[in-house]
Amino acid sequence: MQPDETLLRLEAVQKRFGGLVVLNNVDIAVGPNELIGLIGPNGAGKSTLFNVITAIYAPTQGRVLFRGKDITGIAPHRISRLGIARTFQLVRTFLTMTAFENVMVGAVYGAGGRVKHATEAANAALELVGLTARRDMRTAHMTLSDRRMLEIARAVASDPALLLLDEPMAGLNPTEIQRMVDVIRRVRAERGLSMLWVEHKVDAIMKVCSRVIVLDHGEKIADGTPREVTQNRKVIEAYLGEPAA
Amino acid sequence: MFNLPPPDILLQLSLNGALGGAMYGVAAVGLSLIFGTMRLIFLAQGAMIILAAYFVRALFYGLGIDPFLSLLIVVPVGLGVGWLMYHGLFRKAAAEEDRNVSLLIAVGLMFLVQNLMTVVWGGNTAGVVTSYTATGIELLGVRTSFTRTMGFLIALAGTGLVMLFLRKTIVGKAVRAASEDMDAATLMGISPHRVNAIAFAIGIALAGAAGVAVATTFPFNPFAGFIFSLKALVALALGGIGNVTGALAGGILLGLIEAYVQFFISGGWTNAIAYGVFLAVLMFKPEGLFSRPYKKA
Repeated sequence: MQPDETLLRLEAVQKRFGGLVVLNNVDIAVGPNELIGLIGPNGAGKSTLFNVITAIYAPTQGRVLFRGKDITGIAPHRISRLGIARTFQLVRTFLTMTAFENVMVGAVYGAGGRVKHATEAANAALELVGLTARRDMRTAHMTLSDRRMLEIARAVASDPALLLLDEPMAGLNPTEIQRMVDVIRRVRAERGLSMLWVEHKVDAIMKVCSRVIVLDHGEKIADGTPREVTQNRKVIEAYLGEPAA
Repeated sequence: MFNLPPPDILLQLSLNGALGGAMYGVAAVGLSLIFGTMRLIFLAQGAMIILAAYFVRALFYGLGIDPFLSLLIVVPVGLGVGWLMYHGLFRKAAAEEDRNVSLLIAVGLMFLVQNLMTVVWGGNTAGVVTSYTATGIELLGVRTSFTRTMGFLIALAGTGLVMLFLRKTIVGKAVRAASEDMDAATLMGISPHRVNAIAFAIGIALAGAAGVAVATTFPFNPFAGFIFSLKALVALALGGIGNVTGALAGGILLGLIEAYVQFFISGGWTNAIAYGVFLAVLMFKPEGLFSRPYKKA
């Protein structure tokens, strides 16, 4: 990968809360159209990493670069206009609004306040995740799996170059998980965007992603193909504990 | 046991209560909007209403502008004042997680406005007396005051416009999104300062509209606003916090309660019972009387 092609680059990012180091010296580079799985045990710092990338938290040290530009510490509402969108572990669709209204908010504000073609973008995003039939349904009446799909549509409608997925499969049944895998693949293929995907369902990550990053106790302990990562001793220790001496 | 009065008196009572209560309602709609995006109880709302009433009075006695016509001036000025007020006073405090600073600013603003009004217009009771102040009209077969009816229509129109704005415009949708989940809305590219400023602008514009209704209906003094804030707060709790039509309905309901208590029990009990209802609603139905709770994910 050429350095100038890198979409997102984290340089030696550290995040401390008081004396607690949640992220330590993390370097990550995401290239164009990459689908990267981000795994790690509970408390490894995955959510904090997302919050640092989306500028909810400013890193204690280090820099976040997007398309070569330093975006460390900018206002969170500018993040999405630059081309970074995210979904949430606990779905955060706007419940009093219809599916279409939710996606419109992304299509207009997420893309920097455009009005032209916003309706088309919103409809296309709903189509992409297969929610066209629920277009005018209030989100409060939708199932969890549909709300997760809607979050992806809302993010996609803002025309991001990078999509951060925060456990999109949490709480879904096997059929819905398969549907989610299909949608993630379709979004990547049709929109050509890059994705960083946090997931507890490691088997799904290993099947779908070509590259996997593993965090443990705030440090990056592995970064490679699924095969490399599953054979990494540190990763096995992080998930299973150290072998008995 | 009460002796039920004849139906025409009951109707009269209900009508007067509802018409007066609409004014609490329109104040509550403003509170609801500001609370929605900023999670701040804007206690100075009542003081702003009285300020608007004095402004209407000054326009009437100074320039001869009809109080109802002055809506065309008061509402746009309110929009501007609200916008400036947010950026001047609340913007910095809004960035803090803790809302106490914002609340103290609102309280400080309330006292400042009250005392400035006392300096400028004196502490005595003032009013606006026009040719139609004492005019009555026939409504539903009962006679009622023309100005109260106008106040009711203003409240209805104000709430209706706010509803249209929230439902039909994309900026309104952004305000709703931010009211529901500010963090998610922010990550969708919505600037918190922008929606907060919009909520303040509309809130103060509504205070302006309420000021017109107050000026034409009641005598007022610089310190009458605080009671208005409290009554708006009661209306807000009755209607369900964050529910715009509920806020208006809550105001009307409060007006009815007050009218009935005054008639059936005594005037002295009015406020005690109103605040008692307020606490009871907060304890037993905190989501408001008119809102169906919806399932959270």
